[in-house]
Amino acid sequence: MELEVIEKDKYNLNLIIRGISLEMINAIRRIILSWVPAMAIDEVIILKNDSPLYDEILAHRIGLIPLKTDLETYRLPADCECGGFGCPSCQVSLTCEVVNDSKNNLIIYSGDLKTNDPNIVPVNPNIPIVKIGSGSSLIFEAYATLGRSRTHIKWQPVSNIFFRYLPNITFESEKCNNCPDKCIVSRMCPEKLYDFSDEKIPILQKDYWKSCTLCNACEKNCPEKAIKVEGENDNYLFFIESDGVLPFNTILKKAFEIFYAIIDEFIEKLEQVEVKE
Amino acid sequence: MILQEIPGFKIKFGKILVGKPKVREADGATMEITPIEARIRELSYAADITLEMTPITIDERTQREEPEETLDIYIGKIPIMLKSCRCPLEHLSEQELINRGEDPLDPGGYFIINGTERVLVTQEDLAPNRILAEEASRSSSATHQAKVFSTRSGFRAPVTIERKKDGNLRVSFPSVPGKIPLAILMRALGLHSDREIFEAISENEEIQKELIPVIDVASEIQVVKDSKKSQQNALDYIGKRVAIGQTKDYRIRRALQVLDRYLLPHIGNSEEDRIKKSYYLGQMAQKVMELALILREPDDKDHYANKRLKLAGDLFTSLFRVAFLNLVKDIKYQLERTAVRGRAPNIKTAVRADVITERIRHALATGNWVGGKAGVSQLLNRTNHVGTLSHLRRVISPLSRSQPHFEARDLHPTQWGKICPAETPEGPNCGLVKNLALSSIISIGSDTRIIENILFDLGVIPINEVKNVKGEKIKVFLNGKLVGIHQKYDAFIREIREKRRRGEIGQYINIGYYRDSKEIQINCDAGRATRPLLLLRNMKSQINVDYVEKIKQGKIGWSDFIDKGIIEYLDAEEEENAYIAMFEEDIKPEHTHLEISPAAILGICASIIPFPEHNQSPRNTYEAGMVKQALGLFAANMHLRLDTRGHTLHYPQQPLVITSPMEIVGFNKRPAGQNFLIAMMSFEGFNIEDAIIINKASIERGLARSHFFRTYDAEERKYPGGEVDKFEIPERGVRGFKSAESYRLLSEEDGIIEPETKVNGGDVLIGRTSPPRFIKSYEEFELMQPNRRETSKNMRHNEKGIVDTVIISETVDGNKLVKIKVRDLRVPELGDKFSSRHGQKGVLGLMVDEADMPFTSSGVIPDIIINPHAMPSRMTLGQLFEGISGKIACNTGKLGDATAFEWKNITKLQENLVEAGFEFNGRETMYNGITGRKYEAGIYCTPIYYQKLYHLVADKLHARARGPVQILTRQPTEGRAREGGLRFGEMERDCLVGHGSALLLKERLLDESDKTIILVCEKCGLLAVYDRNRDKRYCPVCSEGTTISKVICSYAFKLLLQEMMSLGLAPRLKLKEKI
Repeated sequence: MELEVIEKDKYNLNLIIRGISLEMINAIRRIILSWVPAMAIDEVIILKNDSPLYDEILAHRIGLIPLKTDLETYRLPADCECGGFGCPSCQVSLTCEVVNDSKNNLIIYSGDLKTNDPNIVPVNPNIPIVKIGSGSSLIFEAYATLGRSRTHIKWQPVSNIFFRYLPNITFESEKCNNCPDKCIVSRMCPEKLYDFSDEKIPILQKDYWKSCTLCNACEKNCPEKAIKVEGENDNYLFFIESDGVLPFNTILKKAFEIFYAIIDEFIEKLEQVEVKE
Repeated sequence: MILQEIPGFKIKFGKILVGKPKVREADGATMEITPIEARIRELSYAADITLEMTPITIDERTQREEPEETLDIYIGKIPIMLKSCRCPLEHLSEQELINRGEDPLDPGGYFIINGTERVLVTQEDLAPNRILAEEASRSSSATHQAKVFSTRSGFRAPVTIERKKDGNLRVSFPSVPGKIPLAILMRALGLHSDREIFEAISENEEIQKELIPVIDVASEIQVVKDSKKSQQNALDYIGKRVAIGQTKDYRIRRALQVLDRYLLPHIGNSEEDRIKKSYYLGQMAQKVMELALILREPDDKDHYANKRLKLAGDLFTSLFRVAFLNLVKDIKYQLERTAVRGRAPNIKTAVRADVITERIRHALATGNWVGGKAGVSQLLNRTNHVGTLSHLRRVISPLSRSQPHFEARDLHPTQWGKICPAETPEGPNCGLVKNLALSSIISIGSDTRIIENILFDLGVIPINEVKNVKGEKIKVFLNGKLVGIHQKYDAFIREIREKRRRGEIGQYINIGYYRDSKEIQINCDAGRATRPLLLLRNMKSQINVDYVEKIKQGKIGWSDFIDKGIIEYLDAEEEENAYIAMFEEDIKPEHTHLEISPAAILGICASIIPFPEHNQSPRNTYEAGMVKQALGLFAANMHLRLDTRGHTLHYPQQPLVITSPMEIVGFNKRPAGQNFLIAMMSFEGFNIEDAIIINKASIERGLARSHFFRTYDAEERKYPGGEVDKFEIPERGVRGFKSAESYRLLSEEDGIIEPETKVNGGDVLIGRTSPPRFIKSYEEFELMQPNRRETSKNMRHNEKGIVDTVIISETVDGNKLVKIKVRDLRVPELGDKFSSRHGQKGVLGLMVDEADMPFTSSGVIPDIIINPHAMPSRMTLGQLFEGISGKIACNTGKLGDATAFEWKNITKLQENLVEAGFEFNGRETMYNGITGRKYEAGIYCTPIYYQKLYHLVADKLHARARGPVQILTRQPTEGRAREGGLRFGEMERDCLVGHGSALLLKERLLDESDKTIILVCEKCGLLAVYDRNRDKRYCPVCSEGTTISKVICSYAFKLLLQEMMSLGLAPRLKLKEKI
């Protein structure tokens, strides 16, 4: 297996993975998406709400705020010693108390949440929660827990994760008989991967593989069938987009950890099975 | 107005005045009210009407009239239309409206009666005072007929002339039984000779030849060379029908009276008008004859020139007229009563204001209008903003729903631009309930006399001078009435039109020329549907760049264009003379007008549809019906409003693909739907039959969430005898006391639930006790007082929620009124109904985890997956184009424009899509989320605006094991609201019979239904009774001593036996031992 990083920053990780099976890469995607835990507010106790939004809507909005996650210190409530009742090792309390004594409307942001664990804070302090009028106030307590996105989307550790085939476009120049009109193929490509410098022969950009989606628009539209688009087997482009809840390494490490744990458990169970002679 | 009273006294009526909307409180104080207060407190938004009255005493001897002081007397209340000229909201700015608790975008135009918003729906009617000639139905004895609905101040008198198979013409009109020969009637009206009759009918010799039998019939009343005598005879002929067995003198007087009052009342009711009436009858006869001789086509009843629309004003006029006459009658009666008692008449006490108030209030509250019309006033639709607007622009045809009336239901070409071609209900009301098109404006009437004089100034020769005129004669009609003739019609018509454009006569005066019958029809009456058009001069509209700039700066507006004659209103009649270019580039020299926008032919609801011209037409009709069910932001003041039920969508969005009327209609500010990302593919078969598969993650992120509201109310009523209701937690011992547990949510203080309390079905919201229903005459010193009843307000069964608002206020009668709004969160669930804007509805079939959802090669996961089978047979290409346009909008950041008929080259849209970086057909390469495999085919994946419709599963889900039964039959109740059972019907029964499962059948139909045990006397076979006191069974017929047996049967059967006994039958059961 070969791994090549195309891009890596705080929010994006783009990789080329060569020599991995489709089942495997999809399994990684699915594990990250639905098994890797993340922190999110699960319970909101609203003490005062003068805002035009109802408590339910407010709670829903607060729940969707992405929180920085610490997988070392916290455990899933189900795995916690307290049995899910809420203890310092599975729960973080956040509070918000805003009284608008100005004359204008006031927008309450995620940054207004006060936390008792400085590691568990909203990823972005500029997420608007609600706008309240003059003289209104909003007071609530919130409890964040770890959870998995299978239960609710708010516990999703990434904002997007997907892959696609590494494309391979072959151009048989002997088949191309230089159509009398402009080459239609270069115009039909939605990603504009063909250069227009020579209008008779389509010239493919060098780094076309970065954006080609295998839409086959070029192949379908070439009257001489001179172009062939294929996805390379077992070679993929892999993309993870994050909102900053967890660093990429942690996400991937955790994913494999879970993967191994599942396999270990499977083997363990298998060994327990008595095979009849 | 003068009212003749008891001898020596009369009252003169002066001006009538309407004040501001006010309420008279129980303590006698009068206060101005705002609409929101009226809505919350269940008041009527109505103003006082005062009438100037002057009592006049007449001296008995000198007959001298002595007027007393004029008094302004309050005669009743009249509901005020919101934002009308009498409504204080009319000129308020946006901020002022918000301060008063109103939605600044609320259109007004409705009334508030007892706290409910009511619309007076526009009524479509056949035009009055217009002669319509048509072929008679085959079943009648006539061949052709001309009919006119002569209407004068609310009185409607149809007059018909029929041409019989023998060539005779007969007239029928109200209050005269049977049909009168035309010639006799014309003689009676004062035409002196046969020649005059001929001339009154037609100058055409061919027609005159056919008139001989018509004249012949009159010979029986004719007296040679004595026209006076002939007239007397003719009158007597009529008199014999209306006053049988009276003296001849009286008969003639009666006949004259009938002619004046009931024949063509719109022409007049005085002596001078009789001759005019005979000419009018002549016109009618001419039309019949021309039709009979195929000189003209039959009139088209469904032509929109022959229709008039009655708006709230017209409806109120007829209602007020009746109410006012009732009041006058009542005043008369009251005054007579005081006079009989010998007291001095006092108008203040004689006027009972309730007469008018109650009559109007009742008509508006029930919708039963004068003239037996029902459903005139309707509860305003508040599902969403578009629904409200559409309701206010609705037009109802009074034709009966049960008869087919195919022609009346059809879309008529003359409805172009006036009535929406798409928006009409399906089913029995199809084509009878219509909606006004966007640009349609109803004409306001102007004074006929002024117009008539202008016509004479412009060279119209009055009818009575026509005789001596030679040359071409073009008949000129004003509002269907012949006023004269003109000889140079061309210049005359042009001059009238120019006068209108210059603003010298009203903007709603229309003129139509009929070349075939040489008629000019001028209309200045109210209720014609007109539409604005750009006037063309020298192949150019008068709008230029200057104007465009000025509009942008807001310096000039619509009315300036009307005043300058750049835009004019045409009604259906004048439109027949116009040649209208659809687009600027189509203009040819023959064109007279230019369409402002072809999209304006659509109504409010149809304007929401993107690319409607690319859809199959019924789909647009379905969608026009469905937008009214879409959840959205129905009013910005929803927090203050206390509607009995309502929904709000949490995150309503403006569509990515808009139409230009949307902005005008206000849909963008009060939207009803969200932009969903759709993929069109099959997925595990869970979207067959129009089901929709939804991404669970999208729901969890808040897609299509809504709230449902229901308001419960209770009043502390006062009863005669000083008894009152009381809001409290009922004490133990009160009749119907539930259990202390049920009242736990209520406040100790006032017995009312607190806001933000979670409530479930059946929970008590307001605790209340009422006095006992029948107060028995109990002794004063008796210790036991009869118990009070428990009349608490409970939550509905099957509903839950959170108490949202509690409002305590006071009704007009001074009773304490409590209103409680309960809200319930509605997260989309399996079975909820959704629809795109193209009549493509479907229910939620599956919720899929995000990890299982297919994703595109750029990682986009759709919100919903719809089935491609929805497309081929329904041909809603508009939906595909909407998606493409939406995709472009997503990538360019500019909203897509999908106004009807604006895209002349739709392939350009696909080019734009490629430009924006997508495949031209909107498809994406997608991967299966479960296996990770790439799909072979490209999948159409675009953003499309979806609506959540109010048919939610939470409101429909129902099942029961045990529950209430009906008192009479003891069978389970019916319907969800009553926690009813699900019927095990005939066909289900047949099924069990077929299987031979007798015991199951018995269990379903007897044991689980209304099983009872009855006692039967074995001797006589009649029902026996059980005496509990003596613990004895006996037969009331055979008395004691006979064998009484128990019989198991259905309670309904027991009822049948008893019912038969009540008819005097003796149903005897012959009992046998069960083997």
